[in-house]
Amino acid sequence: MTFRTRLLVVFAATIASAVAMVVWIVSVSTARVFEQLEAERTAALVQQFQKEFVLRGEEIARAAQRIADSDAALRVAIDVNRAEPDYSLHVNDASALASSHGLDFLELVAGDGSIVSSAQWPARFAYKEAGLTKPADWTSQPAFLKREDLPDDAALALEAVRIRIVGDARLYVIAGRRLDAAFLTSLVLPPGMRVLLYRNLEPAFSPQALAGVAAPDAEKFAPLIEQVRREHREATIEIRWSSDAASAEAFHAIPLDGRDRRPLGVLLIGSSRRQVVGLMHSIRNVGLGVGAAGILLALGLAGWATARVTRPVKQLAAGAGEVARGNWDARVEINSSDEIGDLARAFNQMTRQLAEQRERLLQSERVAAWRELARRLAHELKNPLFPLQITVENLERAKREHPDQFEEVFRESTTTLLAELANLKIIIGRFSDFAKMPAPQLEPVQLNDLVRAVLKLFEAQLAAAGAIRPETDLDARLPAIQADPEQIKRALQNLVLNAMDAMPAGGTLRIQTRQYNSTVILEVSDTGQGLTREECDRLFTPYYTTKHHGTGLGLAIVQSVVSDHHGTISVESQPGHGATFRIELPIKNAAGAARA
Amino acid sequence: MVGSHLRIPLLTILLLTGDAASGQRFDGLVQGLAQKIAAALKPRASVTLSFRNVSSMSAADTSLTQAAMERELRALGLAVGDRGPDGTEVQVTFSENPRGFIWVAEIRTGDARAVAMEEAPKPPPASGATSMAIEKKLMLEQDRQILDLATMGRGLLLLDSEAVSLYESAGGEWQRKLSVRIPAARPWPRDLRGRLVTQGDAYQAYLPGLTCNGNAGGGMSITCREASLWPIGAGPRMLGFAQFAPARNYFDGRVIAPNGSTVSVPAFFSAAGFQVGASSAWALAGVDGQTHLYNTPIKNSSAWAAMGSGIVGLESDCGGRFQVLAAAAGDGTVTDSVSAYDVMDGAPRSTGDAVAFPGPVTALWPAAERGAAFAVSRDLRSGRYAAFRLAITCAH
Amino acid sequence: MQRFAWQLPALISLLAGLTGLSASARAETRPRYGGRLTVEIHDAITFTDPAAWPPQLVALVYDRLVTVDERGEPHPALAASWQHDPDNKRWEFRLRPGVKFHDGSPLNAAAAAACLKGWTSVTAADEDVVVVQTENPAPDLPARLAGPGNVILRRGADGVTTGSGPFRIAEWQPGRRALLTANDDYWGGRPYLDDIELQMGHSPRDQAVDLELGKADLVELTPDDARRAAQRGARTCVSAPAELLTLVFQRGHTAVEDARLRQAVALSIDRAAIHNVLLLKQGESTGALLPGWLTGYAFLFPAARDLDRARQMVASLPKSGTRITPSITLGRITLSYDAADPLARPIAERIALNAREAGVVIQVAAGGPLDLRLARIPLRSLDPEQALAAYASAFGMTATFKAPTVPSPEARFEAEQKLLEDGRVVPLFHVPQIMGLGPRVRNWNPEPWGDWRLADVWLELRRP
Repeated sequence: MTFRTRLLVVFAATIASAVAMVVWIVSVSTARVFEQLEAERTAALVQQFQKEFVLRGEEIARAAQRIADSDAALRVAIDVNRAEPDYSLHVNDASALASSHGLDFLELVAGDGSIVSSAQWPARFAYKEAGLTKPADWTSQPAFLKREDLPDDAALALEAVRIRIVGDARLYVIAGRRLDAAFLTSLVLPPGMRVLLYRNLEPAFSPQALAGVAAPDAEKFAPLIEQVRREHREATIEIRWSSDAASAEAFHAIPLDGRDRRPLGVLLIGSSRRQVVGLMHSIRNVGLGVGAAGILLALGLAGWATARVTRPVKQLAAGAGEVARGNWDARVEINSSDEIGDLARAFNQMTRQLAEQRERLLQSERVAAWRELARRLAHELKNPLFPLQITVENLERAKREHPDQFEEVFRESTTTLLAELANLKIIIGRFSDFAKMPAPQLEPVQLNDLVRAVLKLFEAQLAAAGAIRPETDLDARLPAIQADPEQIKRALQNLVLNAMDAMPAGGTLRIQTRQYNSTVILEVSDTGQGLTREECDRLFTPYYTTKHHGTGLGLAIVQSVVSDHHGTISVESQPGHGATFRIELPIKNAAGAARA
Repeated sequence: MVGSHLRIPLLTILLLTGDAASGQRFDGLVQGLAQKIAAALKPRASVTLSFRNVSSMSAADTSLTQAAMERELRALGLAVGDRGPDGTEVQVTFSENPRGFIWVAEIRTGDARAVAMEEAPKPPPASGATSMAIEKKLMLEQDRQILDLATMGRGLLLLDSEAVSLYESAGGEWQRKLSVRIPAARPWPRDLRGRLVTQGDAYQAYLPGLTCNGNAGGGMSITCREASLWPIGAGPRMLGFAQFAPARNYFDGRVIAPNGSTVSVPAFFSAAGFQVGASSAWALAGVDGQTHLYNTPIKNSSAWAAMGSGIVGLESDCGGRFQVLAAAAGDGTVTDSVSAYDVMDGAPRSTGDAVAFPGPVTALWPAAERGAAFAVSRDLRSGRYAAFRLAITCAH
Repeated sequence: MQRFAWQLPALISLLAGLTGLSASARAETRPRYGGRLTVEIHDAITFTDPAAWPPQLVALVYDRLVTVDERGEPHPALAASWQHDPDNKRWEFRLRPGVKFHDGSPLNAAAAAACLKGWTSVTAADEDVVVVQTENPAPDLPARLAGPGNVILRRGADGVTTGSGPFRIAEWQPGRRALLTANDDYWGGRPYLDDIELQMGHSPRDQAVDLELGKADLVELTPDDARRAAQRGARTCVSAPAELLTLVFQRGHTAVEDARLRQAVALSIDRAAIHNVLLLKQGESTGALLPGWLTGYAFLFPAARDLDRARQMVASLPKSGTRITPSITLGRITLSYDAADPLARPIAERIALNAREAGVVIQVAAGGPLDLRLARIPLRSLDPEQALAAYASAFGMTATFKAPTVPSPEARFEAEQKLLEDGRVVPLFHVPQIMGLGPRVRNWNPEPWGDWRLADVWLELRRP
């Protein structure tokens, strides 16, 4: 991850976090405020409902009292409390009285609880109306909720009871009005709120008992209603009418009890979530917008910051890279006066010193290499030159001292001279080869094939040279690499030769290929005597050899080839345990892109 | 009680003489039904027998028939009265339909029920006439309260709150001819009542606490003394002389019977005499609002209770021979009516006929003529008193 | 077609209650001729054919050979006399001479014979002798000829019928109004009234109001209206209870096919409360088809409520919605009533309430052929057998009705029992007809058949 990206991430994260936190805090606060507002409005509505309930109840109680005080009630009271009451006289009275007093329900009930006349269910005359004897005095009793059974269904009624007493006789007047959706229309509702009434008159939840809501939608109220019925206390639920969150509505349910403390109705106060959801959306959108802007700002800041910070760092890094690649003349053009500038100046100084040191090193190395080369050349040439000298001297001597043997001596000497000259040629050829190793001609090369080819080449030699057993562990899925097959083969041959040389008494020659990330690895192992640490370090130095013969160029050539292929070569060995040469070659050999 | 002492021998006579015709009338039904009941049961079965009457059969006929049925069933070999092992119960219902009587026997043994019926036309009623009506005729009107009227020869004697007057018919209307004031020493009680009885030219006027004798032939004379015994009934159907409560409007219940003995009856406003079998009986419109039956074992029926405080008994040729005219049970603020009841077997049956009056009937007394009575009514609108003659007619 | 028909048989010569109010100081005794009587009825009669008429109106325009009194005894009408053979199978009726139909055509034996149906043979033996032959002995044939189906009329080519009764049809507006004028040549004497205006299709409540306003002289009243009228001092007249109020379970309706359910409903009904309160104690509770005053044995049919037994019956039924046979599924029961009858709805609702106590849910609705209906059926004949046959026809049970083979009360009882044994018909009440009379009306005395003897009615022309 680049510094710029890291910086961008940090900036963006910071800004996003800040924005998110602000949004969250605002949302929570807003939600809390809305909840409080909703609770207040709900409480106000409940209060309004209760007030209306009480007012209606008082109205009904007054109507009941008026009827109880009327002459009609007096006549009924007298007639039905005779020794042999005639219920037929008044069976239809309640209908007329109810109609004239604007009541939905009216029952006139004798002192023994027998219904004299019922406006809502005229056929119920002489049936008993239970629960009237307590309280004994209904005068001060407020109106109450009651389930009113009707011929075809049941209704929820707000009713009041008043008594007319004539001597010892009593006549109960039970007057009431329906409590239904029409009752709720008298309530003043704030916008976004509505009130529903569930008539809890069935043993189980019934969608039809919820007025004003279609049956499929009414089913959504079932859990709330059931909870209120079960727990007999207020409860709240949020109902979402569609997939749109703004369609949600919070419903607060309040049980409405009858005289026996069982809920006969449930008042549902609904508060639309549209406003708060809309606001939340707005807040969120603003937050997102701000966040996005912030991120853009972060991008900008990051860009600017990186421009200020990472560019010099990059330059420094680029410069370091140049240096790593060997361009010790790399300089960084940073002129700031801050720490980056100090760093840049230090870098430039370092590279300058490094370049100088390298130059000096190169020179000394070059001198050392020339000295080494001269030494080696001298050493190499000396060997064949000495016999040449001896042979020429022999010839001279023979000519001079033994002319009769001169022909023979001439023949022997020319043979020797030719052999040594050939040797010289070889030596010079090696040097020449080493000197003019060409640039590799890259092409897709399957390393396994080269290994097999090289082993084939050395097959006889391996069998002959003290029974060296070749082993291969070649990765069949080894991808092709971009390489010069001849040079690779040559390097491989050198390694194999090296390994053979390390096992004069025989052993195992193991060649392994495998892929590792973007490189292919070629390992050539032997079971020879191994190398010391010092020998490992100097192994790839040209002319360094542990062998008693040889130019010592073999591994140098291998290293050169590997280096030309942008690969690396290393050796692992311990004395007595053989040695393993590992060559790592990039699969892609693009200039500058391969990594070891 | 003296009254009950009188009743016992009458009851015995009633039972002994009985109404043999009633028993014979139903013999066929009794035998027929008894045979059907016996046929539905095992021989010598034990049964409990019960009866009820939902027909118009009289109480006397009912009890006679029940006895006859029991006798018949026993004669057919059934043990009546004991609840046998089967628990057989027989309920006989005396019912009727337009074609006559129908007697229904429900024979229950456990949950099983068998039904037997016997039907027979109704026997003809005792008298030939089947219906009657009241004929009402206005006699006189005046402002003073008219207490009673009585015919005197061709004239009409009128007793009112102040005088006794003689009227003669002229040109279809009654004209007053003579009048004599009643020397009343003390104020009259409210709801003044009076009774007028004539015999030739002589008359007796009975008022609360005052009895007057007089003569209307030639001139009007009157002599009054303090007395309170009023005659109830006349001739063979006479209850006796009843004590009129002083300063009141009713008879206090002390009655001197025709044989001189004193009997005690409930206090009453008015009395209606009729005959049960061969005996006279009386219905007394009691001060307690009930109608009491005197001198008859017949139980009081609800029809007697429907009558008001003004009743009068008449004898005619219609219906069961004895009728009772009764004013409706009302008060002085509503118009009144007088209904006719035909008394048969001691039970009054409404003839359905009634005559209306423009106000309350303040006096209702039998007239001397057979089947007639006088009624006085106060017109609610004018306040005047009108006297009417009511007569039972047998026309359809 | 269910008719809200009011019958008025006054069987005994005692009317149940005639409350009179006369403010006049003089009682009128001689009838007066003249005047128009305005009658209002609920029925809307569309045809002149007496088969479509309420029975009480038939005798105004049409005669029969014989009439009966309140004891069921036959009296001469168009037939002046009759005789029969010893077997009571051949009857000869001699017609009253000189009687004409309203169109002037003579009412002879041929015309009369053509109208008598249901006998083995009816022939005109002479110009004025009708011979009726029966297969079985018919000792009560004359009384049966007084029944509603034996009206003597003349049917014109256009289907319009003509009678010979005391009134003729002068104007006819089907379903709305008819004007009947006095037949001056009536064999029984010209009626006192000049004419009768018959207003049809008035609701009972409207009739009560019109009576009070003086717009009508004779109206039909409900028990409640009658009480109100009596309280106001109006005159009312109550007949003997003859009209049957009954529940009829519809055949073929799966909801009520189970006999236990029918019995449970029948046992749950509290007749006493309905009788006392809704019917104002008019009429009588009954379990019989024929009224007690007609048979004398109506009490043999149980009419008592047994709620415990009803609940046991219901408990033994399969649950609602259960398919108890391939074609029968239990469900909610519906009870229909005649919406035009002001008493029908409260009675139906009370029955539904009673049934609910037993566990049967009944829904009440006006009109329509639903599972169960509340029907009001008039008594068609004073002859129990004819009356039972008429009931069987009304209930669609003519095929299963077996007339009594012997003329005995037990046989009649059994025949009636048979009609009721499957529980499809549940008699509830016999109710009377209650008439309201205007103050001018005099001599109102209807006949046992329910015939309104309006020929005997006269009007006091001077208003009191």
